[in-house]
Amino acid sequence: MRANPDDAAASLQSLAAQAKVQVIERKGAWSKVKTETQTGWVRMMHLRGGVTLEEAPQSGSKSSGGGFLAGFNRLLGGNQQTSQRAQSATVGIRGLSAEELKTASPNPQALADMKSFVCNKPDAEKFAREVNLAKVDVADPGEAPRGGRR
Amino acid sequence: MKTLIHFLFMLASVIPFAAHAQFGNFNLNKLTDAVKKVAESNKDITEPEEISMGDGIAAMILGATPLHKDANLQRYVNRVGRWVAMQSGRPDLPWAFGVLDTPTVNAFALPGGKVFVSIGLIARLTTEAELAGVLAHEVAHVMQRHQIRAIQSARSSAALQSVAQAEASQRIAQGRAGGNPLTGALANAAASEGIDFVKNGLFLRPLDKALEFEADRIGATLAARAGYDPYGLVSAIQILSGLKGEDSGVSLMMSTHPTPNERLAELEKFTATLDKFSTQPQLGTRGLRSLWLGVGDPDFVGTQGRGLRRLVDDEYASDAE
Repeated sequence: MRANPDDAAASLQSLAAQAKVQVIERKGAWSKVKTETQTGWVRMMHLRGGVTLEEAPQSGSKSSGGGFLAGFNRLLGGNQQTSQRAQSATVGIRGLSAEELKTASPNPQALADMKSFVCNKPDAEKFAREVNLAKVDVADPGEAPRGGRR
Repeated sequence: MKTLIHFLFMLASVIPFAAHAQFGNFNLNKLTDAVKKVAESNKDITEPEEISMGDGIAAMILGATPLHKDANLQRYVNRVGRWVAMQSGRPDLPWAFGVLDTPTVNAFALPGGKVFVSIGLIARLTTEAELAGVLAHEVAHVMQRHQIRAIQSARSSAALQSVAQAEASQRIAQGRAGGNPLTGALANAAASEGIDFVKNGLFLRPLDKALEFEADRIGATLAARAGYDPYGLVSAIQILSGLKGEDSGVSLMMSTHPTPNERLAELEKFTATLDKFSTQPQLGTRGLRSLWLGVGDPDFVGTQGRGLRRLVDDEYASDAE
């Protein structure tokens, strides 16, 4: 964990794999996190884990629309063995299980509804301009094993 | 396999006059169909066929899970998605993004430019850059024709598999599904085939891990091209990595993707590119009304924990800003 969002910044402490931290904000590739004793910056890439129920202690955001990152506790990633892959299809959440998909009947009306919400290119451009999103020149990512890149 | 195809062709050409004959349990008529099917499956799937196939698959998914009823949310997701898709190699497909009304956490792309994302996933996202990253991953699958490639190989092996398969194919070719006549966008062989790919479970087969990693890399690239912070995708995957397969309705997603941690480890190799564009906007709020939903919210039944659900205001939809 470093004092500033920079690989060259002073190191505050070294965190063990799976150390629990609270994310306060993110700046580029760096997340500002709070440990039990200190606040500092870690590379965002090294964090694992998602939202938990706890509210951030310093946040007064009980009202709706409050701070986005409040209550996001994440674990520092390491070589932990995770058991995240679901064991098997024991969960029967209605509507999107493998079994329900296989036995569904096609719904042409819902398909037509879905198509009624599409956005054309000029509208998408306008939507982007509203928040000053502009096209950026970014090189193609590296080649994938089976090619096919244009 | 080539040898077998040749054998089947030979067999069919040697005894064409016997096409309607039966030899014991061996139905030559069906075998001829199988041969035709093999020939068909080796043909490239055209773009119109790809789009129709996506229509068929989408109709099935929508038969199992309804669209979320918030029209503004649907439009909002379509705007983000289309802007991202415009940065892809296939900007002119009839892109359509649908939010499914299920607490399940999942997103998937269909051939031809249809993309679904569940409200259960959207509700867990915190910024537009994360949503853009998720959609960009799906757009990348379409751009690279990952599903079409999978379908094409499944189709040729399925055609060879058995005579019974040939019978099913014949039914598909006749454009019937479950005995109901299909109309409109679904009244063609490719759409019927799409329907069948859901029914027979082929659609649910996981893609190669390498293709998922590729979709992550391309997705982050597309999001960056669209002007977003490409770490949005990383952040979304980190959120997924905190979910447990058993209690969050993520089992289908987890069974069809590499684990979030594997994906993050792959994306770490891509850090140099990500960093270069990491100061681009994350867009936490945009012109949207955002609110925390607590456990037990009627719009959010069955989802554990809480998440940020963005609702698009009418004023936003009418360009008041």
